[in-house]
Amino acid sequence: MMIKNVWPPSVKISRVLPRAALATGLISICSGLILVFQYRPFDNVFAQVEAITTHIPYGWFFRRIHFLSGEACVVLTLLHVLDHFVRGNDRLVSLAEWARLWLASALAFFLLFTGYVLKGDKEGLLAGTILRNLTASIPLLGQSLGSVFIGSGPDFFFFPYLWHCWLGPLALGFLLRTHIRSWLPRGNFMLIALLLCGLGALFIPMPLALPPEAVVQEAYGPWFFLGIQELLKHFPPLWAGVVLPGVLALIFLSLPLTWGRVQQAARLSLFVALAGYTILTLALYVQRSL
Amino acid sequence: MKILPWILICLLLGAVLVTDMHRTDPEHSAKEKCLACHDDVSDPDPSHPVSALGCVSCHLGNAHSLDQDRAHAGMVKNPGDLRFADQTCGRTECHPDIVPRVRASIMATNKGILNTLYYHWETDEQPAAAPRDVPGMLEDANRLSLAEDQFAKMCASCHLWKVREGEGEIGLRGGGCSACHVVKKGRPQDDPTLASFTHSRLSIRIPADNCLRCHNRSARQGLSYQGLFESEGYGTPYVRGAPGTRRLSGGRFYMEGPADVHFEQGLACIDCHTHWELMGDGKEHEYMEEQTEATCEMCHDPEFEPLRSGDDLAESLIDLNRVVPQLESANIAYSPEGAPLYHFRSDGRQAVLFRKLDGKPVPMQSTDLSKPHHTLSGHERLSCQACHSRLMPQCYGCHLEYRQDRFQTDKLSGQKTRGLWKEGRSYMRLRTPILGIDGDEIRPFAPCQVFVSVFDRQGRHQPKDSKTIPAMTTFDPHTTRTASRTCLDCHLDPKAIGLGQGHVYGKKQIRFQPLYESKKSNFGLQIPPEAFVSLNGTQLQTTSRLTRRSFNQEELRAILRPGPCLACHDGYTDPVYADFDKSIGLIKTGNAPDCPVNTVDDSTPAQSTR
Repeated sequence: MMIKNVWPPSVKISRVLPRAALATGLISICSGLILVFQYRPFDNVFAQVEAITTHIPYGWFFRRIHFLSGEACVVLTLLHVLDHFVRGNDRLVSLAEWARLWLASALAFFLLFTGYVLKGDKEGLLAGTILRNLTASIPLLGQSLGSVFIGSGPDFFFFPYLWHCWLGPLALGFLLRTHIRSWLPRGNFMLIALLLCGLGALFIPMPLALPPEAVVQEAYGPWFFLGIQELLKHFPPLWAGVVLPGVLALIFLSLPLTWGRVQQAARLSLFVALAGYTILTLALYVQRSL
Repeated sequence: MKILPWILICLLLGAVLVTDMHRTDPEHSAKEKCLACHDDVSDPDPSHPVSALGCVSCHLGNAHSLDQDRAHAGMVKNPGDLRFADQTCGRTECHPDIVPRVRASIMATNKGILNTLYYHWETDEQPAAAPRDVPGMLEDANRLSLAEDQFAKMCASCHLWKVREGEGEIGLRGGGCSACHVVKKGRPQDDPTLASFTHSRLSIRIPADNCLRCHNRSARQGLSYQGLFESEGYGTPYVRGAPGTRRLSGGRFYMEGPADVHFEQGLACIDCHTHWELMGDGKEHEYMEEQTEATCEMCHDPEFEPLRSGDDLAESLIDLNRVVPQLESANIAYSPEGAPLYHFRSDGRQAVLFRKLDGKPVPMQSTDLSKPHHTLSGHERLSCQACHSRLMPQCYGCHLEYRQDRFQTDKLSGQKTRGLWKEGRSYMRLRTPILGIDGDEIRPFAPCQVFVSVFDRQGRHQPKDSKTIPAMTTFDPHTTRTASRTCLDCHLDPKAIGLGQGHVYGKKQIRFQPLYESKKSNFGLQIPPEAFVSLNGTQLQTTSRLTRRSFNQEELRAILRPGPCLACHDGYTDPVYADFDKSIGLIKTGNAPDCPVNTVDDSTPAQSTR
């Protein structure tokens, strides 16, 4: 109950977040559709991405706006989920609906991750390799599961491409079909999202991309992966990369099934884990910037 | 108000349009976009033309971007840096076989220096840690022994893994491949955007200066080769009442002496030292001499042969050298390990060595090893250097302070850690070498003596932990002269045979009176600093190799034995040396009445007055 009272009732953040997430999501899909015609997930992917950024007219703008809107969409979705988690709204939906939304949230992060891989730069390559190795560490299913997400050899980028550009967005739409009442957000949300993302794309450069041949002392994953990356340095991959996040995800998934003290314990553990992960990520960002 | 959104959207689109017009350069068709900005860069050398190789092959970075920050992301300023050399110089299309060799070479691992320090520091209380090399110590900044701490703080600025940066001589050291192959540093021209600049010049014609950046301390071969002698720190000889102005790096004074005869002929280090030595042969050697293959015989008793079949290295090197003439029909010599001496040739009548730096021919005469001075019985084990190295820099009693109450920068990790090493010197001389045994050869030796004073964390002197390491070591001093030592220089000079400066006397019983009485002085040594051995054959100073030692009693006796004869019989061809035992026999039996040395008793053990 204490957690429930964190948000003051006067702030209607609960209404803003999903609409803003939808608006930024639509911008991301539209800009992504433009980019996908210039992208081939084979040969020198890094050179292609740099050609889009450097040579194709407005390519730089569409890359930036796609990146910013995609990131914004996932962050807003995360806050939207957090908002409902804090309010305890998980008790208001059925287990099937909760499971769909849970899967959609995970898929949103996966889309962000595959986008990170598809840059074709050093960090993208390393991130893809880490994901494949992590899934491979799962007993029995690991090898086959890994090859579903990340290819090998010349097909390295093909599976992330398939997920990021086609299967992922379609699956996301399917999972959210009953959750989103209207796929077209209100004009004011759309306008503000477009202007903010557009201005951001004008003035905020893309993160620097290291060529695949670059020699790096240490490579960093996407922001939401930094904590896991740090844990992987200290614990076995199966535990740090699969079991721990998997258990937390399962606890989150099973929230509608819990009640009383069990639910309180589950909520508390999730809250502590989330807070801890946020602090760890922020600390790593500070450490990197020093 | 309904028009406001459209105005805002139009403004955004306008801004995107204007920005785009200023950003992209679709007409630039160069393979690498680097050249869109750096459009006037000189070639590093004719074999690495920018027009063909571009920039990214060597410097990495992003060849596809026109944005400065993106283009420079992941760029390597010095491609020769061993940390990146796999992707640059050593990439599959270029020199993939050489980079692993260089990484394993003694100049990269510094194993020779480390092993010697491990050896000297090993005690019963502090056994030497598992030996490491420079890459191992770069990976793990913990120093596991005093030997490693001393290396990291005093010696670690001369290795190929060192990043080439900073000011002065140290700033030019290291840098992997660039340490040797960059023969002239690049410089920007009058263009603040660096669109136009002179690239650092690369070459396989490596000037001696590049070698001398490192090889001017310790054994000081680089200095000796040029006829320079690092003198005491007093600045003598004084000039107009003030210390002399002849200074080396670090403010060290020097004096001039006779240069090596090869230096006088204009030969550089690379004229003798082959690529196997300089870049390594792929094996991780424990000491420098294991990687060294240059021998005097290589050039002075050569065997010429036609270019070995399949040896395209010689022709490649001739092409890359550009000043040594093409081979045509001449035969070339090979090093003991098979490195082609492409610059040393014979047409069957005359052997000629073409200097690698300028291509000038130096006619060579083979040394006649059948002459008496090379065949005299009893001299078979003499190395060429034992007689032809006329001088050798000798440092007696380096004083080393180790202060645990102070901090010093670890040159490998860059961190300041506890423990400060400070070096002082006692006295330095340029004198004729001491002789001793290395393996099965007689070679020149020089002292490498260290007096270590240890201070604890409170700054108190700890005599128990302090130590004195009187040691001798052998190396080629690079002071070769055509004229060798004379017979007297060895057979009547107690210092040459390792007894130290002093006087050998006695008829029935040979005795030795040292010039300097260490025991009576407060020097801290119980032996004369130059004494490698006592008259009874006891070795007085250590060496860092099991194969190295002083002369034993029997050898000392054999060397001193002809001493009295040399006053009259001072030539190699003198008949008394044709069968020396027989000549001695004649004296003993009274059949040499004219010989003043008529009471030779070579059965008496030699004794020292010490």
